[in-house]
Amino acid sequence: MAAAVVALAGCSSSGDDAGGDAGGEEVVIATTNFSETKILASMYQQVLEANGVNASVKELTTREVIIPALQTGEVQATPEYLGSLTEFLNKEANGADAEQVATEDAAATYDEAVRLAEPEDLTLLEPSAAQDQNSFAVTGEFATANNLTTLSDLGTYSQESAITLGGPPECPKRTFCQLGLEEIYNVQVDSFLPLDAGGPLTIQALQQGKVDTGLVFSSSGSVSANDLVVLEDDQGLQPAENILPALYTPAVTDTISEALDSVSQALTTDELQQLNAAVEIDRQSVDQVAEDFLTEKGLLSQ
Amino acid sequence: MSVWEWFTDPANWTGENGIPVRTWEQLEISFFAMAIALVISLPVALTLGHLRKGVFLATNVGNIGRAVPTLGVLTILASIPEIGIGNLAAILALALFAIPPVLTNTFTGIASVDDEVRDAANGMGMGGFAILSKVEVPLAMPLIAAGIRTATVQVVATASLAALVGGGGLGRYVVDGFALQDNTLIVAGAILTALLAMAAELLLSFLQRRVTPKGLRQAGQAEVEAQEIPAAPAPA
Repeated sequence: MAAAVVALAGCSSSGDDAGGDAGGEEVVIATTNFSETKILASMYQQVLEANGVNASVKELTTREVIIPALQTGEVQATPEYLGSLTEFLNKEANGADAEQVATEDAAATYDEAVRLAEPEDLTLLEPSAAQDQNSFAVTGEFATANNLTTLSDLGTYSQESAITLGGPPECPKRTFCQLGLEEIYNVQVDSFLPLDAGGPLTIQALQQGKVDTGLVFSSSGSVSANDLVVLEDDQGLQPAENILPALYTPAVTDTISEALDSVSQALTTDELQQLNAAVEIDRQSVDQVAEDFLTEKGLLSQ
Repeated sequence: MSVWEWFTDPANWTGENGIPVRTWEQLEISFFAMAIALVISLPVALTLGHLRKGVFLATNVGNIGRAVPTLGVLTILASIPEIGIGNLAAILALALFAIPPVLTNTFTGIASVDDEVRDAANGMGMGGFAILSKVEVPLAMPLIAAGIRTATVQVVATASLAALVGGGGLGRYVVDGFALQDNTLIVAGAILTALLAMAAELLLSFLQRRVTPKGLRQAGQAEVEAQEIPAAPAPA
């Protein structure tokens, strides 16, 4: 029985390697099940392939699964978010109650993240300008009627008329959500409605007028598609969440870094919104959307 | 925090997220869902059963109803602006979920009342409505009550889904527990839901016995006794 397993294992691994010999070691790119990370992973894969690096995408679940797999070299690359990753590494290194080190300053946060990542065998490439932050959105109608453009405006408005807030169920206990709104912007929250993290429920609740303000992701395709307005985080409640490639250090080569850097440099938050909308709203395939973007930017013709 | 500590913490027994409020919400959702289901299915099933028509409809509505995923219906209803997210979507989805068992059981109960009994009632000068209300419904009562009981217990247990579309109820603990990665909260919500469903089962099986006409209850007992007597060894 054991022999059979070994034989099978040998068989499957040689099958995987067959294509890999030409391009050296295969780079496995991990992604969560969110369509945005899937698009990014597909871009990474296609741009690596275009540069002669054999690459494949593997869908894992969450950061809690992906980062340990990256540290042990089970996977070699993953698209990450600056602030969230920094805090993840911070809590791994300094305990769950560690003081927050990620701030709205992307450069400072990146330095901090690199310092935390180095001993963990993780290499973090330069962050892209594209961000996916937690944001707070209202309907265009509500914003116009009450003259709201920033979260400070919302704080002022809420003094006279306390708002109803919608977001993921953990929101009332998290700094990035209700606690931060109350502490930093002095927003008066009348009631909180537990929904989802920037998903369809929150969008519906906003449109149906069940909540005034809802937590959404700044790069979400459904924000502009549904006439929602993201209120500017003018006092820096949310840490910078720029997109950056995280790599398993022993697997890093110049070719890989340069290829992934080219994707980061080409990407902006607006473009990310359009890409997400193409997948989530227009139901185009992730690979096609990624390929179209890379082609348009001339990144596939090496 | 252990589950026991959670249950004994006074903070969890007060406020809008306390056990009494969440339990009440669960019962409210279930009550309105059942009320809608009964108002729709009982008249239809009683009429069709009495007329012995629509066997195809009654059984197939039952079968199709069982195949429809409640969560899917719930999500679709919540996305309709006129209904919206929250408890109303849950009430309507659960009502659809409760119709099949009530409809099928009631129809079967009424339609399977012995023809000779109906003829006898007719011969005594009873009209259609009198036969239905005084003969067929009492005789079908065990089956009708069983349908209502099954539906109610299912609805009480499933009402936790309301939390998935921004509603209240005991599912709030389970859904919020997942979001907060708080296993105690998840288990507590599951236990409360199970306890409530079991309480509904006990209460309704008691009521089911009470609404079953005396004659049927005694006939049932007599049958049991009648079966037991020959089985007993004859005294030497």
